[in-house]
Formats: sequence, structure tokens, C-alpha cells
Amino acid sequence: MNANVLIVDDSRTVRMMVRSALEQAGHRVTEAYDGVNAIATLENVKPDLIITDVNMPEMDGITLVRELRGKQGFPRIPILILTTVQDAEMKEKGRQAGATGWMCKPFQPDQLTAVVQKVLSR
Amino acid sequence: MGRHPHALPAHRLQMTDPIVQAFLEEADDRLAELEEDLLRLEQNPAEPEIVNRIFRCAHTLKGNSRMLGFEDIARFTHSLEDLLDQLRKQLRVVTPDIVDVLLMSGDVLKQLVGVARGTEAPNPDVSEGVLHLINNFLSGEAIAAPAPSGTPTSTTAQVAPTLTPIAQTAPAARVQQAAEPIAEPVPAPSAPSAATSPAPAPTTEAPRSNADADSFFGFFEETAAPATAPAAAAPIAQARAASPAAEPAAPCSPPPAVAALPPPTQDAPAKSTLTPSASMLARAAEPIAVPPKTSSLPKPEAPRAPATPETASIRVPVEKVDRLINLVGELVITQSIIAQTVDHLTPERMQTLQEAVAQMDRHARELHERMMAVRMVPIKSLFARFPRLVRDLAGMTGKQVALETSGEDTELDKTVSERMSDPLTHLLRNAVDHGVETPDERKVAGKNETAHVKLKAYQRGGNIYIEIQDDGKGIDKERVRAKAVQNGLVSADAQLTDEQIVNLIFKPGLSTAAKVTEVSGRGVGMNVVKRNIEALGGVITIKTEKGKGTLFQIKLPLTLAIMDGQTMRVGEQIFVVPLVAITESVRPQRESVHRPAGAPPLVMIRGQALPMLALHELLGIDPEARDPHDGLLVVVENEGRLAGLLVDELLGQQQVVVKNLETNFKKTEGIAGATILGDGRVALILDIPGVVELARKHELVASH
Repeated sequence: MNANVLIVDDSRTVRMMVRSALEQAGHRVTEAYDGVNAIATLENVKPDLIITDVNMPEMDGITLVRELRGKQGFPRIPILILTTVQDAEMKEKGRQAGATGWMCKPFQPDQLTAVVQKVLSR
Repeated sequence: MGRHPHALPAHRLQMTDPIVQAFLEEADDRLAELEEDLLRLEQNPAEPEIVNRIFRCAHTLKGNSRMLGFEDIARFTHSLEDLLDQLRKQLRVVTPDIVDVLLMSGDVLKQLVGVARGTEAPNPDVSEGVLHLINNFLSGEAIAAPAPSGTPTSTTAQVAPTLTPIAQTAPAARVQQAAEPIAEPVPAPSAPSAATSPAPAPTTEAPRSNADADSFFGFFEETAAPATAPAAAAPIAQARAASPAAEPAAPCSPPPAVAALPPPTQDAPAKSTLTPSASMLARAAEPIAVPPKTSSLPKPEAPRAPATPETASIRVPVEKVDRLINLVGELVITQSIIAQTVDHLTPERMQTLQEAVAQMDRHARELHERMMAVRMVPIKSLFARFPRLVRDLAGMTGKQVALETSGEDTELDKTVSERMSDPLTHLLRNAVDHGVETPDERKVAGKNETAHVKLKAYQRGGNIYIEIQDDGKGIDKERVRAKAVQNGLVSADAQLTDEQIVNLIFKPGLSTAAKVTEVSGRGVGMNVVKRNIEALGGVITIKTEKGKGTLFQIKLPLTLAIMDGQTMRVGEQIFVVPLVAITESVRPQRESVHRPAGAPPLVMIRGQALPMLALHELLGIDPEARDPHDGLLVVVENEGRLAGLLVDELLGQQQVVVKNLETNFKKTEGIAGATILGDGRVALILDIPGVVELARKHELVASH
């Protein structure tokens, strides 16, 4: 299944990596560099999955999830937050905000495509 | 997706991979921002937003370097991040010592990025030294162990695993393998796609290899699977069992997923469940039972819309842009060829064609201008490194110096910007080291103890101006003159204007610094500064007033790819000389040419002997004028010295698109490049210093 994935990360290296890995797996990728930019992007793009970093300028990932689940009208779209292994606190914040799941940063391309496949096949 | 046991782990990406390039570029940008923020932090130690930005920078660098396998950077940023995390969480206050170590860390990271890029040699002594300083802070008693604030990590626990970065060495292949034995015993359920996916997060009791995989990803519902499962395989079965049920259940679920998630009832269970880091931290967390939860997340319902990426800015590799510029250059040339053809057309077709050509001319010009603009970068990136430089220099020289920058948004050709780095660094060093006085001296002179150095950029007409102005003591003309006389640069009785005296500082071998300091006097003199600027087609001028300060003004062309040139002819060959290099053209008197043995011929122009560079001799061309009197002498300035180029005829002045000769032919001494003229002929652009050198060799050969 090919999907539209929105990657929200202020690091263009991460965005590029996500794009490269997912496009190779046949998905389409849209990029946004922070929460505010993501919300603006979502006016034109309807992704099947959003992967968002947490600590970003302007609007952080947790706020983004909360916004999307709340007034922005994206109650159902799967959202993964990117966290570090140790950061249980952040995962908890993500869960409370309404994220679907979490994925660790740093990741390798294969891990990412596997996760995306898994989320999309639910 | 298929299984790739040897699928590329990203850390084996080639240096040429665009992702690696993007990483290196981003690292440069981030480190520049880091330094700016650290200098700001020094002024505002209690500003949380600055600390957070700095933390984010280290965090991003760590993640990216680990993903791409730049292990040295990852290891360093890991410790740095820990220290910054303490600052961020206000477990430690920002002291000048910490700012110093953080600034040093920035330097180390720049160096490590240089190593990653292959432009710098590793210097493990320095990086390990700074790492040691960081770790000293981290292990120092000032550490308040993360209080029971709910932070499940302890600093020491984080430091240890940096030595064995498991995440790095566990590429997807290993994750896949780990998942396999677990997946197989499970009877294939209705969700076949799950079979090739990595295992979902099981409990922390899972075997280590499995935990590696799990620590990577999880659904919030599934991490909440019961830990009562006897084996590691259980969570998978659980997930699969839950899966089919989840699908039909979805439409009935309340729309907001938030509502369907298990409420975060107690802190403790939630936290432990969400800590799948057993293998990373070699730490066991007790399994917690949370009631299983059917998934409430439906499949995405939105029809796929075409992706329309929206980005505020683009980064274009210079190479691509250069190709486009070249291409557009060709278009300009084609256009001029057509324009010439049109001149020979029948009258009735003339007007239409002329109009068409006029339009093409407009479009080509506009396209060209727009393409040139792509190469332009804000001077901000160049200026960004100077606050740190001035701070450190002021510290070393015991002076108080405030650097004020303005016009950072002024755009400059990328290459020009890069090549201005050394000259500006040198001028700023001089300004701090020699230009401004010590606080005591300033007080005596009735000045503010803090000296001000202004760095300013602006555009005027077709040029970019950069100014460096200090309010220091000004250039001591008497000392410059005395030094120049002492070094034999001018005679003791030479009549010199103030301007001429001041400009002596650009002569090689003139350093007025009473002592060679650590800061200046590293062998790179003002003559090199001037040469670098002139190599860019720029000009540097000085205004100085004793006791008030000095202003260096640098005037640069907007771009290097187009040049204002003077075309000239020698025999059949047409040459172009940069207009800025030409001071005048004269027809030499027959008696003014002298041919001393073993040296280039000399020509007397108004009492001054200039070396005469006969292009036809140097480049082996059959000229019209063998006798200098029949030709023209174009007087050019090269590194402050004049020389005369002997040519047959001056043609015209025009803007030329500079083409690299090496790309299509080979490096040729005396020739800087080529261009194509309106009539399709190729003209060679002269490299004046190269021609001078050629003449010197020519005479050496001739005299033997």
C-alpha cells in the first residue's frame, strides 16, 4: 500500500532521510519544518500518516498532535512522534496528546519503512 | 517490504550521497547558530528559550550523526546534550565556565564535521579533552541527580551507553532477524502484512536482541499489552488478535482517538510501560499490566491527494546553479547571434524579427538576472562567525570590544562570500589587535572604555560594499612611512600624499605592529588581503584619522560569473581584460621602450618604468604591430604594480559571461577563462598575474 506521509522535523537531514527511504518504498512524502508549518501544509495535503519530531521551533510536536486531534479536525489520522529511547516522559506526553505511537530517533531507513508499513496496515 | 539482511545501514552511505551532503550542510548551519546562541547566552544566562535552542541543536546533531554513522560526532554530542539537558532543566546554572566549555564544544564539533567531510584531520586530543571537561561537569558534585520529577533517566546511565551505541550497530537487518523467530510460531492470522513487520513492543522481559527491536517503535495501545504473557511471543499474538477486531470496531469508536486511549491513570505504570529501553540502559524495569485495549484507530479515510510539498526556501547545490547559469549564458549568446543575422534580412521581414529579438533579449536578460540571484546568499552566514572571533580576540588582548554588525541580509555571490572570509577575518583581527586601544588607553584619551567595531554590508548600484570601522587610534602614518623607508619600499625623501602613505600598508613586507602578537602577525599580511579582494574583482580603500579610528571599505562586484571587460585584439585573437584592472591605454613612443638583457622589456610612461608584456611574444601570436609604437599599451595594475600589455587594437567594453577553460580544455598559464562574443567568436580572458609570471619565465628562457 502506497501512502502519503507527512514528515514534520526541523532537521532537513531527517526530512531528506525520511523522504529517501519512504519514496524508495513507493510512498509519497511531504515535508514540514515545524508544527505551524505542518498545519499550514495540511490545508493542501491529506496524508495517511504523520510522523513528527517533538522539539521544534515555533510549534513543538506534542502541541501539534494536540492541535490536530482537537480543533484542526484530524481526529483519526495516525500520528507517530519521534522520541529518543530513554524519553518515557515524552512518550507519555505524546500519548496524552493523542499520538498513535512513537518511533525512536535515530532510525535506519529499513526500520522506518517497516514501521510505516505496520502503521498503515492496521 | 522485503527483508534485506545486508540492506544498507545508513552509516555506510557514501560521502557523495545527497543525505550526507545535507547532513554536513545542516551541521554547518546548526553550529553557526549554536555559536550565535552561546554568545547570546553569555549575555542572558537565564534565558530559557536560548538554552532550549542550544539543546535542540545538539540534540538534532546527535540524532543525525548517529543515523548516518558519524560516530565521533554522535558520541560527543551525546555528552554535550546531557550537559545542556541539565541547563535546560535548570539543574545547573549557566556560568562563564560552562559557556566557555560550550563554545569549545562548538569548535570541536566544527572540527569533527570537517573530519567527516574529509577536509580536516582528526584531532582526538582536543575533542577528548573537551569531552573530558564536559564529563567533569556531568560527574561533578554540582549535579543534582534528576530529582523525582518523573525523569526516568539519570545522567550517568546515559553516559555509559555512548561507548557502545547499540542503536547504531543494530541496523534494520538485525531488527528483522530478531523479529523472525518470534513471528514464525504464530499461526498466520488475518493480517498478513504484519508478518514481515518488526515485532511490536513487548514487555521488558523480552530477550535482549528482541528488546533492541522493540526499543525502536511502539503503538501506545500495544505497549499497554498485558505483561502476563508468558513468552516474548505473546505480545505479537496479542497484537494480531487485536488487529482483526480493531478494524471492524473502528467505525463504532468515538472519533477522537484521544478518547479511546487508555487514560493515563497513574504516573508509575504509564512511565514504566513506556520505557522500553531495557537493553540500551542495561536496566530492567518491572513489567506493568495495563488492560489490553482494542485499537480505536481506523484506517486513514482521506483519499490520497497529490503531495504538494511546501517549503519556504530551497537549497540548491551550487553546481546545478552553475550549469543553469552557463546555459542561460548560452542563450544570451544565441540571442546576439540572431540579432546579428537579422541585420542582413530583407526589409519587409525586418520589423517582425527585430521585435521578436527585442523580446527574446528582454527575456534572456531577465532569466539571466534571476538565475544569478539563485547564487546569491545573505552575508549573514559570513558575518555569523565574527562575534565569536572578536569576543575571543578581545579576551586575549585584554580589550573591551563590542562588534556591531548591520546589513546581514545583503546578498552576495556564494563564492565571493566564501572567499571574503579570510580577508574579513584578517581585517577584524587587525582592528581588535592594532586598531583599538586598551581600556586604560581609551580612558586616558577620553573615550568610552569599550571600543566599537562596526561591520556593515550594503548594496549600491552594481556593487556590494563591506565596511569595517573601528573607533580606535587610527593608522600612524609616520610609523608606516618610517617602516616603509626602513624596508626599502620607498625612498626616504619620497613625496607621498597621506593616502599614498596609508596605502603602503598593503605592500608586502610591511608590518607596523611593534611586536608580533599571537593575534596578528601570522605571516598573512595586508598585501594578501588586498590580493584576495582584487582576485574577486574588488577594491579596498582606507580612511583613517589619528585618534578617531579607521574605516576599511571593500567594494565587490555582485557576481563573478559576469564581468565588465575590455576587449582587445592581438593579430586575429581577441582578449578580454577585467575593466577594473585597467588604468589607462597609451600609444608608446618609439624611444620609450627599453630592452634590458635578462628582464622583460621596459616602457617609460610619464617617467615611470613599466614592464612591457608583449602578448604576441608571450602567447605566440602573429601580431599586426611588432613595433610597440604601432600598437597600443594597455596599462594594468597587478598587486599594486603597473604593467603594460602590448596589443594591436582596443575593441570595446562589454559584459562577458566567464567560462572556465579548465572544464573543457586545460589550465593555461596567463589565461583565466574564456567567453563567447556576440559574433560567436571565442575570446580569452587574461589572468594578469599569470601573464606577468609568464613574462618572467619567458625572459629567463630567452636569456639562457
